[in-house]
Amino acid sequence: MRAQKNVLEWAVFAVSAILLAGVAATLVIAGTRSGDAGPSLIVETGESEASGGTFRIPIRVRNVGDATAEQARVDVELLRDGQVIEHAELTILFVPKQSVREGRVAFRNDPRCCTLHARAAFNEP
Amino acid sequence: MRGPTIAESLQEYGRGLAGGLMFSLPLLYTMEMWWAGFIAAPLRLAGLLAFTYVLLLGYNRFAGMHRDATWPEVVIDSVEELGLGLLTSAGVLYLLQRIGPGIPASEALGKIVVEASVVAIGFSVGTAQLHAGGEEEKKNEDEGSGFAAELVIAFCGAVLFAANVAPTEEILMIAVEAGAFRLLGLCVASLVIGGIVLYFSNFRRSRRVEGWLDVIRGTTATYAVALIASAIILWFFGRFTGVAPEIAIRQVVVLAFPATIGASAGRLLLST
Repeated sequence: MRAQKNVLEWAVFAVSAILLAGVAATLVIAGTRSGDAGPSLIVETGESEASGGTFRIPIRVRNVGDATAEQARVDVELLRDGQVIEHAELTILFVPKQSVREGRVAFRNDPRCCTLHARAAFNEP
Repeated sequence: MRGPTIAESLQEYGRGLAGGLMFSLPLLYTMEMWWAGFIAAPLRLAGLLAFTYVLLLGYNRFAGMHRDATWPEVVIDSVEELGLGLLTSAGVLYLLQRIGPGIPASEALGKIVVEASVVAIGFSVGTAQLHAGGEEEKKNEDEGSGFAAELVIAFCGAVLFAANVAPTEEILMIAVEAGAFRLLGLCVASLVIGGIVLYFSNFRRSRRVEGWLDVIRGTTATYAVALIASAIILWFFGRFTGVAPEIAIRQVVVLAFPATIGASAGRLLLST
């Protein structure tokens, strides 16, 4: 039979037990609640800013689905009268579920002249 | 019997921390591990936590710091190690800016749990192995617990070694590209190296040969443990989903090579 534990050891055990129970409960609850909907990406574009002869547009990709999206390819098009005048691309390695990833694309034309259209394609890991 | 002083306990935790980091640092610095943290479904992560806990129970019972410990003590020690593993993993991931402000809680938790599993086993091994040796702990030098205990320790060694390469793409690449005969060669090499380490290397605590049957039995059992450990780890990393059975088996064979070295050398190194 081993000797008694001291105060420090009991404290470490108590903290560990609470932590472990918390983590396990969180995972199980998250696991039973989340659906099987797969990844679902929403692309938002921000205000363009001119710099060095190009116009940069911030891109926010939000995954509102239940799984991670891999190799998200965001395609942004400048449209005038239904015609594509310029297009830019952005690749994001991973967009985890319920997460946001940000980036920027650059255009030669001033985006204020046109409508902006953005969409995303992705792999499911 | 006198309980340990606070200073002695701190020393023990210090050894655990050193061991935990030694075994897990390559994985804390591996991006496939972070990815596994947010790709794996929450229930699979919970399963990983449970699997790690069972491994810790086995290791602490048969090889750990206090080999004469009773089951309740083993249960308590294992909870401590897993908890400290979670804390250590969170701390290092924070310093490496893999978790923190701007990263959603679910993503951070996944990363912490995946890394903590290896840190916790390292913690346990470190506490037992980095010990200077001495007074009361090292009682049973003889292998009191027999073949089953050896298999549990071999399993821990296999997981510890295989986990280092399992999350990488290279396993799949080798499995797909290598010819069948080479993979067969890899099987044979695994068996031969396992046998050498276990019986013929005059390794610390390696075993005396008690006839060929004994060598074949021990080597085969070790390789079997390595195959099972490899399969479990690969399954966790999602390497079997949407994959033909042949490719799944090929991956297991590829990973079983490092796992065998872990199972055989680990079996000799990890046991106190």
